[in-house]
Amino acid sequence: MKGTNLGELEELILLATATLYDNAYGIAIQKEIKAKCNRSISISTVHAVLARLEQKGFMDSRYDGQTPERGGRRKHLFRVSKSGQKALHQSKEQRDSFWQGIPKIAFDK
Amino acid sequence: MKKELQPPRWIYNILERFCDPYLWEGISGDLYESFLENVETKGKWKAQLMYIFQSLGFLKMKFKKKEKRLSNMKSIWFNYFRTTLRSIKKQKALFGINLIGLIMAISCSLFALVYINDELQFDTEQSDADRTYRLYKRYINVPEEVDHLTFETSGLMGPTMQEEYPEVEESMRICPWWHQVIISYEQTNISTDKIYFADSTFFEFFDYEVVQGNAATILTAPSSIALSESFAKRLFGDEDPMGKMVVGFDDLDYQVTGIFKDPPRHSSLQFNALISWSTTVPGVGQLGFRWMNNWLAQGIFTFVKLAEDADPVVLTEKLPEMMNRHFTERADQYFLKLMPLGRMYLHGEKVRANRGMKSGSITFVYMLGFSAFLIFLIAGVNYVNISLSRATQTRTEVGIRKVMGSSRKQLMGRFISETFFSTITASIFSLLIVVLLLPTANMLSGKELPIAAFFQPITLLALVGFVLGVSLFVGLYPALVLSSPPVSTILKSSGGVVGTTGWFRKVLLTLQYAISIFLIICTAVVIRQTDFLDNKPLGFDKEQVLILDVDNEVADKIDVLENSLLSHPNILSVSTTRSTIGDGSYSTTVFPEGYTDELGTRVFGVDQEFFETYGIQAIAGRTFLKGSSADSANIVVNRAMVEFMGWDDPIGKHIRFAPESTPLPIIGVINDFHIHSLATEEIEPMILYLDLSNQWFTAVRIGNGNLQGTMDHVQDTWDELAERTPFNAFFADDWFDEQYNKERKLLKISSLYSMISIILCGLGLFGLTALLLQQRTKEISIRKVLGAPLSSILSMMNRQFIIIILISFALAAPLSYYLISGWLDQFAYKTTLNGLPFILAGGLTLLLSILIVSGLSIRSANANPAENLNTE
Repeated sequence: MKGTNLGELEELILLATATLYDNAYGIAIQKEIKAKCNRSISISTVHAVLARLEQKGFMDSRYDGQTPERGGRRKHLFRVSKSGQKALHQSKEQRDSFWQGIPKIAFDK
Repeated sequence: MKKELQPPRWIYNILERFCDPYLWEGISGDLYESFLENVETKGKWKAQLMYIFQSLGFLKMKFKKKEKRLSNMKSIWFNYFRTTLRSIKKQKALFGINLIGLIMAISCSLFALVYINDELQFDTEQSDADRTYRLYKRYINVPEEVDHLTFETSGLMGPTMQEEYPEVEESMRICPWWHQVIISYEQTNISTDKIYFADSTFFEFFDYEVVQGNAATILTAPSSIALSESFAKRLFGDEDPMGKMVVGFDDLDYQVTGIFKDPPRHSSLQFNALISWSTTVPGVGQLGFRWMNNWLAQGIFTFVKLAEDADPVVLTEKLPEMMNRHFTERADQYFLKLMPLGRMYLHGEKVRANRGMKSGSITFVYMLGFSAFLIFLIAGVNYVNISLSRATQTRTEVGIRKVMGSSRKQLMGRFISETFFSTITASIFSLLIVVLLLPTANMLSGKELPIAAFFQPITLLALVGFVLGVSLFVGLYPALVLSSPPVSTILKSSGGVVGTTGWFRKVLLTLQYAISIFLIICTAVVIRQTDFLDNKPLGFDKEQVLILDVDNEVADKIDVLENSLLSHPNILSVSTTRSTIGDGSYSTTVFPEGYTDELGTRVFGVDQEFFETYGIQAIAGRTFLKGSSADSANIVVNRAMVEFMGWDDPIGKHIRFAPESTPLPIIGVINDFHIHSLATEEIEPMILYLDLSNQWFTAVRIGNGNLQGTMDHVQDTWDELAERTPFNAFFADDWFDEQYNKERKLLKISSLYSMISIILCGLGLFGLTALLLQQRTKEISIRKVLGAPLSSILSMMNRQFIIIILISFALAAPLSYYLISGWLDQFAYKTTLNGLPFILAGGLTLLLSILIVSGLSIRSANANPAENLNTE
């Protein structure tokens, strides 16, 4: 199935979620990506990707952590699931194997 | 929390309704958090804006509320579609009636719409059309009881306005010629009646496109002529026409200085030759028509272009003052007005003397639109009534669907979709029908509507409008009613008519019949009026009189022509005159004996044979003596003149043409005869004088022998005498026929529409009765078993319809009387409005309904009661 391969944005969001660990929700993820990659992703896109990742089983989510700055609403918190971790690893391995295979001469200046 | 920190509420609400409730808390929380942050960093307004944009980003299917039912919606709709088809199959006749009704209504409306849309486009494409006006005047003459509007203006009105009023930027005079003019180049002679004299700025004032020649100077020099592309092609073939000399107006030479594109179809001005105005200016051009360049003579058309900010109303108010300064004699009779260029085509219909131009009729446009709307109403009523009556049949279906959990909304959707389906089918058929029947429709309406007129956005828009409009307005009420029955009553086998009591249906039926009766009454009156116009005695014998248009060339040999014509045994008499019906006579003021004021009269120049040839007898005194010019100082008048003057013994009374001129004695009085359309002009007092010098028309009285042979003889005689004048002749009765084209057009359309309306009413009644009978089969059977005679069953079925028709008649008759007598009042001569059209309309409708209802009832009453009752 197509679901085992990660899209670039999906991978970024998974990584950001993993980094934020216990405080990974829409806005936080958006900011994290902005900070690390200097990429502006609209909040609706973040939500769309999160929903897709959850559907694929790469994420678990729960509601928690009411704060006044959210008008008393809880946060929709995400965490990378086991299969999400697996997918991230797989992706990293694929890339690494490519990196190792690149002859030195190819990137020489 | 402070109030200004709230994000826009409306988008929040929309999003809340839209989003999946599980995701919503997270989404709205994130949006709010980001909003608060933006307020801090970017300010309140920008934050609000960003909130909206961010919110819009969430309007995606991904976040949409998951419909629980979504999964089986498709099959439900598929099932609706199948039930629709099934019910159509079961009730083919009813579906057919509905479909035919819709098709007729949509076809009529579509045609009317395209027609009207096309009529509205006339002259609107001219640039500056919004500030271009046509001058016209109201002509009031109290003693002679004249009060009408006319486009005729004098040649000096336009230039004077331009000179004296700064708000008039430009003025333009044109003078379409009254008769055919022959234009010749070498051996080619072409006769045209689309020839205008025009001011030199013509091509700057209007947008007509110049193909060859310099637009600014084409019409500057005297004796210049500009030709249309197609006309030049006919005259010159492949030769280059520029600079060539042609023989044209008044047998003089003209130089071709320009070629222009044929005027577009949507132009009121239709011309294929233009002659420069300077040609007519005395002392400048070879024609030297003083009358085209003074105040007194009327007959010129004037257009003006106003400055951007000028108010036409203000200008109109200044015009009497101009008249007072320059044209005192008529300042109390001529009241100048301005008509916007775009309105001229349709609204100019009531203004007289609009010669040489295309014109439409706003009355016809209204009537067409109104009739189409009425047809639409009738068809809509049919649809609603038949659908409502089906309630008993759909009851079980609705009940079961409700038991299975259908909501009311869904069921309404099912019924509306049925209407939708019918309307779409009908629209497709209508488009086909209208396009296929276009040639016929063009013939009926006398308009050349190209097929391309239908393939415009407006047609598509109209069809979509029809489909949606009908589905919603016509489909909604039946859908409401049909989906209404509560479950409990449905599954019981008994239960009467569902939902609607009969009254709503009866109101609709009354409305429908009222419309139909209205249309029939109007048609009947239009028929009477056209018939009246056709058959009213004209005061002369219009049958078998052929009138030849004699040009200078033939006029020189007029004796040869007359003698040669008379040599044929079937030609009884020949008369060559200056005046004839519709042409060659003129109005002027004269001074009759014993009348202190001047009297407006029509002056008619004739020869001695005129009276015999046209079949006009003297009722007192005598007409001009044949074979002598002794009567050249005597005159003959008509009866209207005698009546106006109140003369007991008119013979020997004198009339002067000018205050100081010789009084001319009256030697005879003839019956009034019509020389104009009976629709527009009344008989005027008339003076006939002996005019042997102007030979413009030759009238030929043909006997009852071989007509074709006689015509051939006339044609041969002509061809022998005329080298460059084409044969141009018409029959007197044809000429009068042509005057009533407008009325005939109306007659055709109103006949068609009233026929459609009565067919639709009949069909509707047929369907309704069939359904009623179906519901009452058992009742009728039981009545029969109990011994009711056929007549009582028939009267039971007929009674309610007869009452409905009587009420409709009572509604329609006064309304149509009011409207149609208003229409009749426009005519100079009109038929009397008696009860016949009303009786006819009421009777026809009643008869048709009784026939339909009785026919159907007899069939069901004759069925074997045992068969109908054993199903219980």
